[in-house]
Amino acid sequence: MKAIQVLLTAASTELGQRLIHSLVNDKRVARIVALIEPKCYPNARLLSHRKLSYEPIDLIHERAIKQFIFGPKCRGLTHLVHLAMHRDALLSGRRYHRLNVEALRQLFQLAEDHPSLSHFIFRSWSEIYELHSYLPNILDEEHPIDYSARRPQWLRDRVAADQFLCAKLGVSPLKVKILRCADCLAPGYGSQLYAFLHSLPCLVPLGYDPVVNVLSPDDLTDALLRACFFPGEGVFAIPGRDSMPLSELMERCHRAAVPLPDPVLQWADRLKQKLARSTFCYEISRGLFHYGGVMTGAKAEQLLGYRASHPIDWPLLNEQLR
Amino acid sequence: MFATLNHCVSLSNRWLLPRRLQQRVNELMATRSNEPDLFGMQGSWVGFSLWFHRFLYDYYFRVQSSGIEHVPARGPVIFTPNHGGTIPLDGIMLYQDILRRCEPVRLARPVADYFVPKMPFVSAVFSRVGVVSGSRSNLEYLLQRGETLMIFPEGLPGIAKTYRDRYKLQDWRPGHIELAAKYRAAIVPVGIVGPDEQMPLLAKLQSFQFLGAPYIPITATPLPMPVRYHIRYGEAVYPHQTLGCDPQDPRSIQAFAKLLRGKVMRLIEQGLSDRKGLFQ
Repeated sequence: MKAIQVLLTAASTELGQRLIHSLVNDKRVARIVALIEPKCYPNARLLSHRKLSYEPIDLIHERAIKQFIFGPKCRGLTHLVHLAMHRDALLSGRRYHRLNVEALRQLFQLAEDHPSLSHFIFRSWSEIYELHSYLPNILDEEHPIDYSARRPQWLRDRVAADQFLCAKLGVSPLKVKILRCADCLAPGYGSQLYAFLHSLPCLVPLGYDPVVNVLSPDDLTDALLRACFFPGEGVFAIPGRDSMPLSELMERCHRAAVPLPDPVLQWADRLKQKLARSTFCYEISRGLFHYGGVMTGAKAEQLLGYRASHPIDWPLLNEQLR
Repeated sequence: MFATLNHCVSLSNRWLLPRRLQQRVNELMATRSNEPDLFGMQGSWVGFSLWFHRFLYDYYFRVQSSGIEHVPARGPVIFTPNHGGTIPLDGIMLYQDILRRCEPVRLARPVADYFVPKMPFVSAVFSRVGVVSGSRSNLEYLLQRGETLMIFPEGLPGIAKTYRDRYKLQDWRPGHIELAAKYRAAIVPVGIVGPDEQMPLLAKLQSFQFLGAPYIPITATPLPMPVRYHIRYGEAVYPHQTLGCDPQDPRSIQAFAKLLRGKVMRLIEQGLSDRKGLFQ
């Protein structure tokens, strides 16, 4: 197999750094070009390696990204791994939409025209699935998507990005791989469950204790790495190893639940966002907190060879939550 | 709150669950993890349901059953009983009976209507003891793993029928037959006599819904009467082995549903003719 050359976005994030670490240690990877937000560039603690180069580029600047993609530094690149999405659920507005959706569209169109790029890998989110009493608790790739216009922008943008790429499956010269990943329970990964556990008090709907599935950073990185080497394309649900009731998750993190009836909880959560500057948005996780939802990952196991094998490091997580 | 409840459940099992029933639970959980499964089912809560409903099963409804030997020892099984009684005590008694008497021990996971997961507390407790929401993917997932399901093909119209319609089977939904044919599952028809008279339903308040329940029942008695339950298990049938039962052909599925409905009706008639009285 010919060694691959990877272009990676959001390289300064926790996930980006972890993926870079895996890629540089993989003999099947010849070169990595990592894109980093210009304002993060001077302060970022970046890995140094002969295979690796960093480029400070703002993805929402169309001209700059176009010049870069067709410039000499991107010659010979074969894979594009797109991780850039804004993570704070409370931020909204045009700028974030441009990063989440429009930058993805542009990047994809440029990649289609690029002479050597042939694979596009995107980290999508399990939050885009609709969860309701009449829908299955077992989630697979065909589970309905939540298209509600009343959802927060964080969620709507993720649905739009995911569905844009789904529309390109089979009709684009690129091999598109969409990884709908379970909630990665760690700081800096955009995890809503982490934000929930981090922002006290932990408000939960009264009378519900759904089963949730959480993904460890190691498994998330493993899934992305496997997607890079998968020759085909498709949508893959990526579950984590740990599934448990929400009450047990909170117990493991030494958090006490404050149960409230649903209408009161919506109001209290908004108040908490303002007063405690919490980045958890109950509106995003409302379906999960009532009905639960667990991905099986059968397709990912069959085609990518991915099997969740790294449990959450609970002592470390508790240390981070402190 | 649920974390505290879990501890209370484990503790109560130690004191209140008879050794014989504890052994049944241990036998059931021997091949499963002690952690909750993907639907939330947990061994300690199954044990809790055994002691919690012991009074109802042994002393209040004095459940009598026959034909449990017809239940296959392994592989996926779907129990298809009649449904009635205003509140789903028939499901609870059948769940108890299978858990107590089936050899080797099997857990029939009751399949609930879509409104059940919306009900606070009820949904959480139900999922711990093994109830699953009746979405097709959920049931397929369980049948693929050789689990046992309890499906009431009459659905809500069965439990919501008035006293005048007691033991009249409502429309028989055929979805479970398609599933059984696809996953080579056995279907065990079950006739339950007793529940339709436990709490005579006079009327339903459908315009007033409370905590996700589809209607408020107006009943002749405030509590269920201590009628005796008679459960009869019929011989297992295998749709995939039945000539002409093709899961892709709606007509053959409907024909099989009619056949199965007839079997359940005969079990109910036998139960009604054999019993000596409402409370005996």
